Amino acid sequence: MKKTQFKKLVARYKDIVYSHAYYFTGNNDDAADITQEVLLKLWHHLDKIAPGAMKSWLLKVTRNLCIDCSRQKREIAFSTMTNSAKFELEQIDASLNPEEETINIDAKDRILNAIQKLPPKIKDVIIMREIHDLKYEDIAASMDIPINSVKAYLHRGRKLLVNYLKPYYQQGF
Amino acid sequence: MVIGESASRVIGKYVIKNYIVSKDNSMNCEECENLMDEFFHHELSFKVKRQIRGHLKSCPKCQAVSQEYDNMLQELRSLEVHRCPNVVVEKVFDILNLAEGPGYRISLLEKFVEFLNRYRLRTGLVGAAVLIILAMIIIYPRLSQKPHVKQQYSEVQIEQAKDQVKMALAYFNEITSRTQRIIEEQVLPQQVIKPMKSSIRTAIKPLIDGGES
Repeated sequence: MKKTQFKKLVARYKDIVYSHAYYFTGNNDDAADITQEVLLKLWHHLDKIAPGAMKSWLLKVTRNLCIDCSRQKREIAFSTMTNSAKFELEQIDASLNPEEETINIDAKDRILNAIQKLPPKIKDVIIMREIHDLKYEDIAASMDIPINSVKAYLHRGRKLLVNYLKPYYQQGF
Repeated sequence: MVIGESASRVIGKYVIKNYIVSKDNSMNCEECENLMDEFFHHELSFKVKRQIRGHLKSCPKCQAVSQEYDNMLQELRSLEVHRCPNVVVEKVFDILNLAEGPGYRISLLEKFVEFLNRYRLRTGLVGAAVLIILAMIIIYPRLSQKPHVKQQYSEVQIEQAKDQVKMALAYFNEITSRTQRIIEEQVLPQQVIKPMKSSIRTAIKPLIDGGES
C-alpha cells in the first residue's frame, strides 16, 4: 500500500521537485542529488504528511535542501582558497559591475543566470510562480509566509530580473 | 522585518492603485515604474491603467522600461519545467529496495494531466476542447448524412425478384387450394349439418309437442 502510494507520488511530483532544484541551483547534478534526497525523505515521512499538503511539503523540503546545498558549496569554495586568492576575489567582486558581468554571458542562459542571482526567497517565489505556475496560496503554504508577502517578493523579483537583464535589452540582444 | 516591509509596501500599493489618481490625471516616472508589475499583471484599476498608458505615450524613458519589463516576462515564461531523469528515480527505488512493480505505473488520466501540466495547459480548457471535438465527431456525420435515394437495381436482380414473387404466389395458391379442399370435405358439411339439424328440430317441434299433448 505504502509502496504503491509512494510510487504514484514519485511519478506525479518528481519533475516539479527536480525542476525547482535545477532552477535554484542552476546545475543538473545538484538538482539530481537534491531530488534523490527529497524522495528519500518523502518515503520516510509519508505517513506523517497530510494528503492535501503533499505538494507544499515537497516544495518546502526541496527549498531547504537547495539552500543548504548552495550554502555548503559557497563555504567549501571559500575554505579551499588561500588568503591571497580570497583577497583577489574580493577585489574582483568589488570591481565587477553586474551590468558588465551580464553582457558576457551567453544570451541563451541569461534568464537562468539572472534567476541564480536573486536572493533565495525571491528566487523560490519566482520559480514557483513563473515556471511552475503555482497558485499564491500554494506558494505561501510551502514557504510559511502570508500571500501578501508572496506578492511582494514576486514584485521585487521581477524588478530585480529586469535590472539584471537591462544591459542586454539596451544593447538590443 | 522583511514581512513588515512587504506588508507596508503592499498596503501602500493598494492605496495607490485603487484610490490615488492625481487631479490633473498625470503620473510621474517613479510612480509609473513602481506600478509596472501590476500593470503587466492586470492588477490595477481602470483609472490608474489609463494614467499609466497616458504617461507611457508621452515618456520615452518609461516606454523603454515597460519594453524591458515585457521582454523579461516573455523570457521568464519561455522557461520550461525540467523533466527528472529516470536514473534518479531508479536510484531511489534501489536504495529503498522497491522493485519496479505495478504501483509505479500511473494511470492514463494521470499521464494526461502530467502532460498538460508540463506544457502549462489548463485542464478545464483542454477538457472542453476534447468535448467539442467529440461532439463534432458524433454530430457531424449525422448532419452531413445524405437524404435517402431510391436504389437502382440491375436487370438480373429484378428478374430474380420476379421469380421469387412467382414462387411465393404459387406457394400461396397451393396453400389456398388445400385449405379450400379441407373446408369442403370437413368444415363445410359440419356447417351445413348444424343449421339443418336446428331447422329440422324447429320444424318437427310442433309435431312433437302436439303428439305429446
